[in-house]
Amino acid sequence: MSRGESVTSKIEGKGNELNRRIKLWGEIDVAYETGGEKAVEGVFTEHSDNITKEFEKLLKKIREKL
Amino acid sequence: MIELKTLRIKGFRAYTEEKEFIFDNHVVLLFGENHRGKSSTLNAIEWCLFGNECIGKDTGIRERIEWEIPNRNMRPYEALVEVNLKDKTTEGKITVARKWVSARKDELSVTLPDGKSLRGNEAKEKLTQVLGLSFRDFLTTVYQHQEAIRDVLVQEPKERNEAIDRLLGLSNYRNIIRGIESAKLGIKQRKMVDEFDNFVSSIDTILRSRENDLRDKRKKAVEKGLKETQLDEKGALEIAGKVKGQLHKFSSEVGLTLADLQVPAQRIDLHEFQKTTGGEIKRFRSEMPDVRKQQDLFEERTKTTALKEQYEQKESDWKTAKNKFEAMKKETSKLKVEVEEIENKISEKEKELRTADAKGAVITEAIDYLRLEGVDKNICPVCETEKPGLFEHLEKEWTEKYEKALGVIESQLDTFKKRKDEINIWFGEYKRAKRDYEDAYKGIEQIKKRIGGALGQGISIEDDLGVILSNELKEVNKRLEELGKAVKYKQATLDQIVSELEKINLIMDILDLEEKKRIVEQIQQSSEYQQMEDLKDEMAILVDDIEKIKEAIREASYKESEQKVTAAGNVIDNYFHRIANNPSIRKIEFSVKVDSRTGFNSYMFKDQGGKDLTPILSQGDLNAMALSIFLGMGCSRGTNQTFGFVMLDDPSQSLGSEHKENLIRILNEVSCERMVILSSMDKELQNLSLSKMTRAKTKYVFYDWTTKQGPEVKKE
Repeated sequence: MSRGESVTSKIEGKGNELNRRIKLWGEIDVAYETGGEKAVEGVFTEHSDNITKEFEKLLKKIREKL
Repeated sequence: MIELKTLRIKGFRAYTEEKEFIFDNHVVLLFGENHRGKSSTLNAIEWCLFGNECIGKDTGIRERIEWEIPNRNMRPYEALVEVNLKDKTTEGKITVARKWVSARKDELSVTLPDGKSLRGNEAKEKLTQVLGLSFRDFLTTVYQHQEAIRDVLVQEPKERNEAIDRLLGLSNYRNIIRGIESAKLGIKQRKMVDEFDNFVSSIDTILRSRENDLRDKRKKAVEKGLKETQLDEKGALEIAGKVKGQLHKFSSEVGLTLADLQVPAQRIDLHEFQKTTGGEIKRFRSEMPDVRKQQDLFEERTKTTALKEQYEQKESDWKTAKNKFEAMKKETSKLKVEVEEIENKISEKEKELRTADAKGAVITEAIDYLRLEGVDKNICPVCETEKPGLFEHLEKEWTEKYEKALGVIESQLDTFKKRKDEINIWFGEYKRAKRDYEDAYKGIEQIKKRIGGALGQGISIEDDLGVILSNELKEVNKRLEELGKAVKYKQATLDQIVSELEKINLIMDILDLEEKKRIVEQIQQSSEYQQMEDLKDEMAILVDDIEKIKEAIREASYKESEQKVTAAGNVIDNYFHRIANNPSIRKIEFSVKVDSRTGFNSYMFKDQGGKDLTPILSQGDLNAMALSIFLGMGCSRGTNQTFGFVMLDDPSQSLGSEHKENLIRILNEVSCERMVILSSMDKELQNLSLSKMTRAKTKYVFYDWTTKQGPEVKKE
């Protein structure tokens, strides 16, 4: 069993939640194969930065309303 | 599995001139004394495959700190290493070449079996994929470095467990988790939650502040005379209409024109109305006719007061000059008589002086004559005959009669002249006083003319200007007082209108605050708030998913490690017994469990009695244990190695003869699975490897090293 399959088989969850986690693991596995640790970090940095930037933007906008 | 085929080195560390090595047998031996270039040869393979990753503190190898890549005797610096690899599965040949550019930069190229050449990041990514092994894994499972192997047994449990994971080929799991954790998602999520919570709590604070402000404003509105029913848009608009009516009435009463003032129909226009109305009130305050008159009277009063002061000053000057002049005039009459008398006396005295002078002159000339002729001869200057006692007689006459008399007359004359001079000075002062008096009089005349002009009436010499001006000032003040009352009344009317405007302001402030309060109350229903909640949830789900994936990775890592430990445990035990041959250790129990704190694999080495082995091992045992783990994990069938070769650099440092022979026997077994590249300066180990290893061997002898040539190597 490959590393990808081995981890996939251990991921917990139901329905969409499980599918989402398996898909995310797939992205991590591919990123690691391509560029190692840094690439894995990059996947989440980009994703989380997009969320936090959007969040900060909305927070600024809503604070101005007050 | 990747096999090593050839190695070409130029300018790397101990190397200067280009050298090539061919790895054409299962056993490749690098023999030679210390400092002949053996280690540089193994390092060259490592650097070619991993570049700057094998330099610096992070490698865990002390000598790698400030490691020099190019040979310091070469000019210019030029370091190039080329490695030819073969993928045993596909039989494809891959060439990896790395050229040193600077301490922080090198150029990597990877040539694939189809001849395609990759460079830069593309080459790096491909090489990572081909090797399937991180530098750390390479260092602990392919390249036996004494220091790195010993870490397994002597370092802190955390580092030891990580090192064993690497030996088991499980470091990818740790690497992936490390990569995930480097993104610091948990911290970012907590920051988002904190910011969101702070924002929510700030809503309450702002709402309370708005309510307080609103309460204050309403209180003020009631104090201003507004009713609760007026505190709305309609109320404000009605007051605006009232204000316009009041202003219109006021403007008619005072005779001013009111600007075209539109009573607003809606709240939005109230601000403009207030601005225009405020401007009109300001204008009325300054342009009211009574205010103008007031200003004129103020000017008149200032002017009259100034004239009065000037007049009083002139009058005072005139009186002073007049008194002085009249006083001097009386004295002058007396002095004129005195002058005449003095002049007569001077005349008389001058006459006396002349008479006395004439006689005196005769006597003094006679005395001079006698002195000339001879005093003792006593010859008369008139008759030229001798007159006995003549000289003494003349001197007596001069001394007793004329010399004294002349002095008295001269003194009297001097006194008279001085007095005359004094009187003449007085006459000069009298003339000045007269002129001052005349000028002061002219000044009075002039100021009277000016005052007459200012008052618009003729002023005669008999008029008492002080009284006239005082009366005039009283009249001005009386008129000012009357006007002041009228202006005060009108300003009070305008103040009332301003007060009405302030009521509008208050109502508008209340309406604004109500609007702001409504926004705060409804902020949680806004789309932005909803989106923020969604993003917060999205981040929470991501973090939760990641935690679940990390758990899955750890579990997969544990399962795999459990399998491998089971598989390699016996091999390590076997290798250790065979190398160390320590009679006190009958069995090594190698096991793994999950560390409840970190969630990572935790490894244990215990003896047959279940006790930790590390405290009782000798230096030779440690060396044997390190080699056992390296060979057991790196070379056993249970592990998942991508490299078809292992490199051992001086592995016999602390081993005895028996240990060495045992090690060679094991390496002989390993060479059946993977190429063994053995570097050693140990003659005993060299001889053992040549006599005991049964596979075909390639031997490189490093027999010399020079600054210019680098290692002198011959293949045997």
